[in-house]
This record gives sequence, C-alpha cells and structure tokens, in this order.
Amino acid sequence: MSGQFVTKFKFVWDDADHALEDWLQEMARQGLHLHSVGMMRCKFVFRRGAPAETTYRLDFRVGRASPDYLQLFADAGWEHVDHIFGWQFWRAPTRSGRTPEIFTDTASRIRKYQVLLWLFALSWTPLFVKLFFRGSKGIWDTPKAIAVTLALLGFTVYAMARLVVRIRKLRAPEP
Amino acid sequence: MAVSDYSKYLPLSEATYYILVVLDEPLHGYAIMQKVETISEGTVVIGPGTLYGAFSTLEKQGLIAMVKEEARRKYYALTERGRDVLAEQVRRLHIMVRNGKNAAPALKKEDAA
Repeated sequence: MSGQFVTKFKFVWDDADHALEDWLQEMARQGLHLHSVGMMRCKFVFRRGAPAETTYRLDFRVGRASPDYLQLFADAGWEHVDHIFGWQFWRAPTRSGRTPEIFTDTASRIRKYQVLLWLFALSWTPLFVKLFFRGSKGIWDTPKAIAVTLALLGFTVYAMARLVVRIRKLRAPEP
Repeated sequence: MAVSDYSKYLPLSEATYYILVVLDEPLHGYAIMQKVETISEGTVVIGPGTLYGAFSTLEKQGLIAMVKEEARRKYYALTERGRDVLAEQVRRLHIMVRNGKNAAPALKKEDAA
C-alpha cells in the first residue's frame, strides 16, 4: 500500500520545540499521525488515519530514556512515538478540550529547558571543535565557506540566547 | 537526625508538598499522580515529566528513597528526613492559615462552600 505513509521534510531549529508540537497536532487533525522521526530531526514519517485531536509534547533527556521513565509516562496515558538526539516525542489524545500536559509547574519546565540547552550544546560541540582545529581548512577556505560558517555560528548563538531568555522569563515572571 | 537548616528545603512547592504527603506509604509514580489529584480535590494535577524530575530532586535531597522496583515501576517512600521536613512544613502552614483567617475573615471561601 503506497498511500499508507506520508513523508514530510521540515527543518526544525533547536529551540522550536513548541512550534514542532503545534505542527504535529495540526497534522493529526488532517489524519496524519507521526510514525517516526529521522535524518537529523528533519524527516517526519506519518501514518494516514482518521483525523484526531492529539496533543504532542516533547521531553528532553541526555542519555538513554530509562525503563521506569517510559513506564511512568505510559501509565499516565502517554504514547512514546519516537526519540532522536534526546528529544522524546510523546502524544496523548485531547479529551473534551482538556489539553494533557507532561509538565505541570514552572520549576519543572525550567529544568526541561535546561536539559534542552545541554542537548543543544552537545549537538553543536563537534562543529565548534572542528572550527578551531587544523585539518578543517574547508570551513575557512573561501569567502563563501566563511560566510556559511559564520551564519551557522550566528544562528546557533542566537537560538541558544533565545532559550536562555525563555528560562530567565520563567524564573522571574513579570509582576 | 533532625534537620538543622530547614531553609534548604522550605517552602515546598505545591506539587512537592503533595508528593511527600502521599508518600507516607510506598507508592509508584502513577499511583502518586492519582492520589494527589484525589486528595487535593483536583486542585493539584502532576504530569509525568514533572513527577519524574521531582523523584530525582527529592532523592538527591534525601527526602524520599526508592524502596522497590517492580514491572519497570519504582516505588518510593518518605525517609526520616523527609518526614521531618514535611512536619515542619505542616507546622508553618498551620501558622499561615491561622494568620490568614484572622487577617481576612471576609475571605473565608471554604465557609461558603
């Protein structure tokens, strides 16, 4: 059956977790239910089905998700769809308009974003290491390569700064 | 051993307070979530992400300890220190409630209910 799976490509920046949750929810409304995530978190495979109101939520874990972690979420009614680079994709049906949440207070949301920041740093470390080592001449060789490198650096720093601002806002809510 | 400096732990967040309250008996995660929602009359709902994070924090602080693991579920219970901290929190809450009632008798919402 060729029409059972639909593949979509979407570039998701490292601090676009909530935009991604909204997008997956919108897809579910159209009857496309996330099946797997691959290729540097850019390839999303969906299974065709009946349209449904589904809440998607991301959690972040450095290292492998432990059995008791997975079991606790499953007990609470969440389905583990897939995981990639520490991003855990969870979903649960939205019943009678009540959106289920995996994080229910500010302190734990702050901790979640801190883990995301760590994952972010870890995933970009190889690039930064490469930048300042010999043998990576390609990156600084031509004006074009330099522009690409600087753009990547700039975007990374910008996205990290946005995450830091997000955490600080949660820490000190405006009066 | 009695806790010498409660300011390290107090005040407890609403979620943490209820987690400690129900861990008077050993329970696993989902049972905690259900019991908290019931006894708080629906005022406190704890999601699995929040609860999982709370486990590691409270375990590190020595307020709870894992007592057994069964079918991929970890059961936790209060430690001696956990009991001590919870008792102090309850004592302070009593004072807070008494003062609140004295200062604002017109705000007694529970009398109307």
